[in-house]
This record gives sequence, C-alpha cells and structure tokens, in this order.
Amino acid sequence: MSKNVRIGVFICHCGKNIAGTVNVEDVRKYAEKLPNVIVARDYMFMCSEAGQQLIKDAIKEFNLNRIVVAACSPKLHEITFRRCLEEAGLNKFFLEMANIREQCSWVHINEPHKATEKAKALIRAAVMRIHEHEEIGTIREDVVRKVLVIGGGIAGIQASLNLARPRKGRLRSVLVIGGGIAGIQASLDLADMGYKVYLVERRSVIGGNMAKTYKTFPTDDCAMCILSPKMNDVAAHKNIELITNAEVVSIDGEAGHFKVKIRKHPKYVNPAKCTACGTCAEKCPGRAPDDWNLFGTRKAIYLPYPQGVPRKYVIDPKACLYLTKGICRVCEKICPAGAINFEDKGEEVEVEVGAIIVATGWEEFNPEPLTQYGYGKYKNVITLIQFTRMFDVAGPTGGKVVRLSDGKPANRILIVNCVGSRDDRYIPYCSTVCCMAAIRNARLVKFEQNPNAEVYICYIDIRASGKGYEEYYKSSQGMGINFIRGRVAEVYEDEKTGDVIARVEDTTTRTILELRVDLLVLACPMVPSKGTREIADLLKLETDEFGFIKPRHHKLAPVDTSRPGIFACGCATGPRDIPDTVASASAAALRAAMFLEGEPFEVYLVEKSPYLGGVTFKLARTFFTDEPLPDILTPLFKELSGSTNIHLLLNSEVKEVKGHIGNFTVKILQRPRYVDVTKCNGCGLCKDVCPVKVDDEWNLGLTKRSAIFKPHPDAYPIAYAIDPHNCKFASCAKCVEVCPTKAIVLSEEPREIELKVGAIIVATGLDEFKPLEIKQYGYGVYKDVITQLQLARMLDPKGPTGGKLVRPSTGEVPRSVVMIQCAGSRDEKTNPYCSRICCAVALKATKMIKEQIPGCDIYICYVDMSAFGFLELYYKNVQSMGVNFIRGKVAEVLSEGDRLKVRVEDTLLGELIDVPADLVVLSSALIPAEGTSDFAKVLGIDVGPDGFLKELHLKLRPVDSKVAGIFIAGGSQGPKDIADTVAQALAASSKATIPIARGFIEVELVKAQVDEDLCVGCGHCEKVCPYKAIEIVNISRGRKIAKVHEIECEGCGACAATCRLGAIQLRGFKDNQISAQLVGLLGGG
Amino acid sequence: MIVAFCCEHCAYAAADLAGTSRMQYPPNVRIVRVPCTGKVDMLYILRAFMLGADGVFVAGCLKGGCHFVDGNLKANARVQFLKKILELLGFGGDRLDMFFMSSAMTWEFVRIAREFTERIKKLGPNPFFKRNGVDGK
Repeated sequence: MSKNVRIGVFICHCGKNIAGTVNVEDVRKYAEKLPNVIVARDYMFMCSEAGQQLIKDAIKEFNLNRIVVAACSPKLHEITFRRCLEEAGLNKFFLEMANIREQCSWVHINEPHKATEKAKALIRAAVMRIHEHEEIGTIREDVVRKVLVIGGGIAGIQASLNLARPRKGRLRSVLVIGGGIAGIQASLDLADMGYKVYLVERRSVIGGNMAKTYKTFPTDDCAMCILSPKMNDVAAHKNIELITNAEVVSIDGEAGHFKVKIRKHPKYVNPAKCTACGTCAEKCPGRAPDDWNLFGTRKAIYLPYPQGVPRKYVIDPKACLYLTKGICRVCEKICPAGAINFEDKGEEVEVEVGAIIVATGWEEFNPEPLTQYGYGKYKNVITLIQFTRMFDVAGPTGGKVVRLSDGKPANRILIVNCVGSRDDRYIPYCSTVCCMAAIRNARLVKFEQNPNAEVYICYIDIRASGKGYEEYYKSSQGMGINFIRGRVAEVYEDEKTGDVIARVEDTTTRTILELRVDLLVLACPMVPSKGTREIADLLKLETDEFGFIKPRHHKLAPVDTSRPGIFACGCATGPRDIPDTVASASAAALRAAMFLEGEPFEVYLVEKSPYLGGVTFKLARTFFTDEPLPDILTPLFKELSGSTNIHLLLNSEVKEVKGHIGNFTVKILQRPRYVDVTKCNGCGLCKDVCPVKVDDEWNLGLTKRSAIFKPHPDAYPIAYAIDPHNCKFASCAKCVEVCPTKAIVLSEEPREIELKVGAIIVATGLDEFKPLEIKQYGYGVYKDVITQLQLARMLDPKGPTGGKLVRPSTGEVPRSVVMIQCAGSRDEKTNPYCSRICCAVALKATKMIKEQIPGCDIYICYVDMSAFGFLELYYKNVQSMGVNFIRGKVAEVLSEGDRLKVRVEDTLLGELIDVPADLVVLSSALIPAEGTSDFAKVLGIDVGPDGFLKELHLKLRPVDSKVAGIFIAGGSQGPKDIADTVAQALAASSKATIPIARGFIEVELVKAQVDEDLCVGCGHCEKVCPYKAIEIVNISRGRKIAKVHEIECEGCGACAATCRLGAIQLRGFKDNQISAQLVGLLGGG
Repeated sequence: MIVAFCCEHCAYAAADLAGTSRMQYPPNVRIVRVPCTGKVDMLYILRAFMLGADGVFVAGCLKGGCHFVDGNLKANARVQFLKKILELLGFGGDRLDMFFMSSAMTWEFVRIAREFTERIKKLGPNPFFKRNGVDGK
C-alpha cells in the first residue's frame, strides 16, 4: 500500500434519491474507519457549487491527496468532480466515484438495509482502489499545418479550395441557432477549432428531433446512446455557451460582424441549484399538452425527456397554477435544493459574432386536412412520430405500442407512407426519410413488441437510397412485414371495437384489400419548423416555395444562404437523414469559419490521372438544376490556378502513410506526364501528328484518341499529357518536333516525393459499373446497348458526337430509347445496394433527349423511382413531358432486325410486354473507383461490404475514418450527387481543420504503458491491438520490447488482458487497481 | 455475491439507465466498470472467485457493436475457455458467464441480474472459499 495516502470520502444524499434508501450517516461512519480515510463528509447535493466547495475546503484543511465521491454514476458527474479536484490543485485522476445512486439506491428501493450494505461495499471498493491510483498526465505534440487531399474530383477540389482560401474575419465568435443534431454538430466543430460558440435553443433542452427517434436506421442504434455523449460534450465544452429557453430577437451588421440580440425567457428554476431530482414534478398539479411526445400531458414544471441536456427543470408559465392563477407554489415548498425562483424575469443579452449558422430543423406535417385518413377524428389513427415515441421506455406509454382508444396492445398495425407528401395539393416533394422510418418501426414491432404482430406498410415507391438502406429494406422483407404498393383510399372506424378499417388497392396484385387494424400510422412529411420559418423571415433569407431556406447554389454551395456570413444546415434547407444532416452541419461550420479570424492551410492535392474533375466531368449536365458541367467546374479550376496555397500533384499516387494525426509522413510517387505543364499552351499540334489511335476511355470507347491527348476542351490543366502505355517515345517523337513551346520532354523520369502533413482527406471517388456480366441486357453484344455515362458523353456538346444523340450502330437518330434502371444495383448477384442517383440521372438524360428529339419515344423501366427530396419535383416535371414509365424489372434485351426489343413485365398491368428500341441505356450501378480497397490498406482504414470506404459511425461520424486524422468524402464513401459530395468535402475539411487550427494535439495518457523490465517482446499485444498502436522494437543488445504509440492508442486495454507477464498495463485500469477494487468490493481490506 | 464486469460503453450505461427507470434487481450484484470487456483479464475473474464471489459475469456490447472493434469477442473467448477450466476443477463453469447488450437494453441487464442471481442461488455458495466472518456477505 502506497505511502502517505490521505483519503477524503464525500457522500451525496442527492436529495432523497440516495438518502431515501441508503442510511447515509451509517455509511459515513463506516467510511471514516476505512484505511487511510482522514475525513468522511456527507452533503445534500455534492454536485452543486456548495458541495464542490465543501470538497475543495476539505482538501485544503486536511491536506487530502485522494478523493472518493459516493454519489451518482460517474458517467454523469465524473467530469464535474475531476474539474473540482483540478481547481483544488490535485491531479484529476486521484478521484474515484462510487455509484451509489443508479447502481444502488435506485435499484434497491425496497431493500434499504441491503442497499446501505452495498453502498458501504462500493465505497470500500473505491477506497481500496484509490490507494493504487497514480497521477496521469497528458502529452502534447505540435501539428503540421498542412493537409493532404487525395483525389482531384469535385470533392477533392472543393476540400482543397476551402482549406486554402484566405479567411475574411476578425472576430472569433459565432452564433448557432437551433440545438438539434445539426446545431450540436456545428457547435462542436467550431468550438473544437477554438472559436467561441453561442448555441441558442428555444426549448429548455437540446437534442431536437433526433432525441425522439428511439432507434436509428439502418443500424438500429439506440438514438439516445449515440446522441447523449454529444449533448454532454456541448454542455461541458469550455468554448460553448449554451443558451436554452431563448430566442434570437434581432440581428444587425453584416458578414464578419453581426450584432445579435437574444431574449432569454424566464425558467423560474435556478439551473445552478436544480439537481433534476424530479421531486417538484411529482407533486406539481399543473398540466399541459406534452409537446415533446406529441400526445398525452406533462407537468407544468418539467424536463421534456429524462436524458435532456441541460438536465434542469423549467416551469411552463402558461400551465403553472401560480403563474396563471396565483395559487399553489408547491414546487417552491418541496424543492430540496431551493431552486425555484418565481421572481425570474429572464433577460436580454447582446453578442457579437462573425458568422451565423441556422439549424432550426423541421417538424411533422399535420395530417388533419387529409380528412380521408381520419386523423384527429379516430383515436387509433396516429402519426409516425407519435408511433415512434411509443417504443421508448421513457416515452408516454412506457415503451408499449398500444391502441390509444383503450390502452390495449396494438397487434395489427398499418403504416401509410406519403401522407401529404408527393401530393400537389399539400406537400409536393418527397420527405426522403419516411420510407426508412416506417420500415424501422415495423421491424421494432416485430423485434421488441410482438413477433406475431401483423404489420403492413402501404407505399408508392420505397426510397431506400442511403448507405446500407436497401440492405435494411431487403432484410426486412423476410420478417413477415407486408409491403403493399398502393395508396389508402378510405379509412373508417368500427365504433364498437375502436378498430380502424382501411381500404387500399394493392396495385401489384390489382386487388382491393380491406384491412382491420389496431393502429393506423400516418407517415407525414417533414416541413420547415416554425423556428425555421421565423428565422428565415427575421434574417431575410431567401426561401423556396415550401419555406425551407434556399442554398446559395444547389450543387456547389449547399450550406451557404442568400446572405453572406449566414449558413444553414440540416433540415432547415430541406428533408434529409441524420448522416447528411451531420455532414451538412460540419460543412456549415467550416464555411462559417471562413468569416472568422484564422489562417489558411497549405494543401497538397494529389490526383492519379493527368487531369482534374473526376467522373463528374463526364456528365454532360447536372440533374435538378440542369447546368452544363463546365459551368460548374470551370470557376473552380480558375480559383485553383490562382491559389498559392494549393500544390497540385498530378499523375501521382500515395504509396505509403506513416505516423498519426497531426504528423503523418506520406510517400508519393509522381509518374511522368512528359509534358511541361508550365510551358504547354494546349495548342494541340502534337495530337495531330501523333500516329497512335486508341480507344478513348474518357468517352468510354465511343471515340479514338492519340497517345498525346487531352480528354476534353475544358480540361484542367490545359496542358496535354502522354499516355505511356501507347506512346512510341523516341522511336517516333513527332510531337516533340512540332511543339512550338518545347514543352514535351520524353526523357522525364518518375519521382518520389515525401511530405509531412497534419491531416489527410480521402476523396478517391466512384466509377460506373461495367454491366458485362448481366448477360441478358446485351451490353458488349449489341452496339446500341450503352450505359448512362456513355449517353452523357454523347449528349455533351463538346463530346464525341458534338452533343448529337445517335445510334452507335448506324449513326441514325433514334426514334425510341429504353432506359433500364437498377442495372447492377439492388441485385444480390452484382451489387446489393441502391446507387442512389441513377433514377435522377435517367430523368436528366430523358429531359435532354426530349429537348433534342421531341418525337423520340422514351421508356424508363424501373423498380422504385428513387426521386427523394426535391428530386420528386424534377420527376414530376419529366413525367409531364410524355415519358413512359414502366414498373418492372427487364427480363431480356433481344435483337429484332437492325433494332432491339426490350422484354419486361409491367407489374402494374401484370403483362409481359416487348418494347421496341433503337437505343437501350443501362442505368448502371455506381461502384468505388478502381483500387479503392487496396488503397484503403495503404492508409490503414476500412472498406465496407459494398466496397466503399467505411465511416467510423454511419450516423454521427460520416466523414471520419477508423484512423484519427484521416477523413473520407464524396463518392468513395458511397454513391451520392454533387451537392452531397460537396457537403461531405466541406465536412471532411472541417474535421481536418480542428486539430490543425488548434496547433497541437493533446491526449490524456489513459493509454497502455509498457514495463520495459518485464516485457520480453513476445508480440502478443502487437497482434491484438486493433489500432496498430503497438510496435515491437529492438532496444540495446538486440533485446526486443513492445512500444506504445500513445497518440494512436485508444485505451481499450486489449493488450493488457493478453500480456501474460503483466508487462503492459492500461493507465487508470491497472491490474493492481482492479485487484484492490475487488478486494474492497468483496469485503476485504 | 456476484461481481459483474461491465463495459462502460454498453452494460454499465444500461445498468445506469435501469436505475434511472427505477427497475429493481437483487443487491448482491456488484459492478466493476471496465473500458471494454476485452480488458477483462482471466486473472480478474479468478481473483474475484478467490476473494469469495459466488458468481461472475462479464457484460459487453452486442456482437458487432464493440467500440474497440472486437474486444467483446476476445472477452467471450476467454470466458468460454475459463468456464471449461472451472468445470474441470469442480468449481462449476456455470458460475461464470458472458452476456451482450446495448446501452439501451436496460431490461436485458435487469433480466440477467435477476436470472444469474437465481442460477447462483441454486448452485450455492462459492465452494472454494472459506468465510471468515468479514462483513458484506
């Protein structure tokens, strides 16, 4: 046992929460007699300011050097008490908490004696353990102020530009409006960059709609489990001032310097004193409709949900009996902490900020106007959010799905999709997430409520277009969930039983069904929240016709608004799922930082090919906005060429990455271009004399090119490049002779470059699947069967046919074009996932063909039309052009004379039909760019089962890779459009900015530690470490030992449990510490 | 007496939430927090038995849900191995077990705490431990 140990034990009553069950005085006396305990004190609320002062005073008075706090869970207040120790001058690891509330008094309410004995044992264990504690420090390392961006597509270009652009602001503070997951993420990013964040939330707690979600698709993660840590980070972050129960009332000034007035409404509860014990709410007679759970009532003094942050009660002045009628004041009398303050008047504060982020989110559309569904009329008709709240143990029904008419379990449930959405009379757009949310809830009924429940989902198209979504949908089909393709026509109630009866046509079987159910659930769309509409008005932001805030540019500036310095993210700009919301929030954080004080970074942009632009450049035009691609890319190229902070490394590949966040060493191989970029003026004389003619991969084999080439007139850089596989070099050298600027150097050698960077962004993009293995579609057999990308090349005015659509076989203008969707997507044999954007790509191509050949018959054979979000409007627009949509998977493409015919079952007609075609276009799946998985190995990051780069967490860490400091963005992470790609690129840049803006990385050494005398270098720890943080190194005289790279170590302790000699230990959880704890816990000591 | 080694990312949080929801389970279950069940050394389990524990369980994240890739699977392998040894020694392999849960699965934690207690009650007190009158039993 260590020398000179002086322990103080502090026991909390937590009002009656602990003291009501545990005999605190008995425990205190017991604790006093434990070895080396100098003093044991108890207090009503140890976490309060007064409680903390008591600990600090005792440390001074008794010269204590170890502290045991017996109170609530360390997960709640360990941070609080550690800070308290630090303020008293002790290392924070000399604290040990005994969890006598969550794991004792609350779970043994009826056994006070046994609970008291258990509390003693837990304190004894903590006292024994703390004898063995030692100081744990931190290490700090400077970071390299440079970023490596891999991939020269639109993601890589946007990331590079935004990192390298000079910052415009002088202030170091920013305002975030809205405390949902978008506002939380934006605040954390900016606060981590070192900026002061004012986070304003109208409710008394943050968390927003995600906190209501219960479980998140497609991983079925508990929403609260992944959201809570972020909320706690917000509350504890020294750079974030969380202002709840408040609203922004006015904003003056302009980008770089806004003056914001914030009205803090009265809470009537002093948050510094409130301990959230809940005694007040128990006795409060005031009631108000529960605006959190959306049905039932809550008390006038309330915490919207138990895990809410800040965990402080507030009084609703509209429901409080005292504030409305001047009677009651019960809460004031019984609050053990004396926290109630009816004199609270609130206040108005003014802050100055450089930029503003609007993250005010969405609310659920009220389906009452759609009278056919009987919402508001029949008790057992509810909305999807109400339904979701039923699953939550902390929710209004205690986690049971019940009929609202009689509270009996609901075992027959019908979920109706698109209630109000995709409907011109109400909400014309698609709400993006309802299909998945409906599937998730249907599964939850089966998993958690009743495996034999009858569950139906009525849908029009299932839009499972995010990462892992299609797989989730597929796996649900085998669970006994009934999917019915059709709209509900009529709903009525059986008055005797309260059952709801719905009439629906199943369009795939063409039968009318009459379903009798216990609950009818309406999946209503997301509409802009009241806050979003009000803030848009107040800030004079441009909105769309639905009230969502309009991005400055749909594709390139997805988080910018019409006003400089003001940004919007999450569902304030349109319906989106959690991963896209989180990415847009980080993107908004980075864009906001552009208007704050800061330095630009030096960026290395590495591209494998000789040109920038990636696969995006091959598209003739964008969908939705219908812009020619050069209009999108050329301005970016222009800015790139003017930037002195970006170093462009073309024809280059990353070969090796070593090191860790803040300090990576990267080896790059640059292959020769054979053309000096600084000299070549792009005149093209060289290509005219080049004798080589090979298939042009840029135009996907539709044309030929020379060995010295430039893929596109607008390509960047403008210089030509030589393809070494086909060039005859010295034996020809005709190009060298004609080059007027002497730019061609055939003797150029490859070179190796070594770089040091602080962070890495991987944006290696995606490619089109070659549908050769889908034999029945005839790709590669018939000349007139092409892919969407080939079609896009033909439709490009600067493409191989000058923009003219022709049949590759004859050169004639096609009179009939058939597009086959999901060619290689949503298909177990090729790619099981949905490629997300092919539906929209087909719509765009259709539009372009119709413009060129108005009389051309176009058929689109589809399974589900995945026109999610505002794409629905685009879909409607194309539908109106007279295009034939055939719902069915194509069986075969056959030749008939010099034409083709497509055999398909129209599932809506139930007939097999043959469609004559001059041209068949396969909407081929999108796959990761070639070599993605090998490259992932070089970086040490993971790829998912779909072959795309794997994010650290599908929902909340969409751009983080497994390796700290390496971030992923764009098509390499999964199929997505330009807008989402740009948002992710900005998000990844935001993450890369964080460690670099801070200038150093600092880590607490709760990490593995090697005892060099004991270690024999056997290497077992090296093998089990999931983070490659341990390396066996040679020390003197050839002896080997394990060495821990502390920055890479995540502190899981797998190594320590593997080491048979006890030579490697995890600080804070060392063998002697656990052992001492066990001794105490089991009665020894 | 039962010692539960709980991963702080899942089972420990589930136990906390069980408290928040005021669910009840027997007080003889005592929790030791670990950063990951992959950290649970076989020696800790043996030490707990040596000190008088009648049963030990290790509770980690759901399979595939480990915060540290596969620490829970490593723990499971150790537990299954040790169960065999304890059985061979005549101590009883059933006195040790491994469970998996997420931080939201409060009812699962409570169910395990109750059922495991019942199981250990049936098996009786730790056969290799001589009680010497120390309190807390």
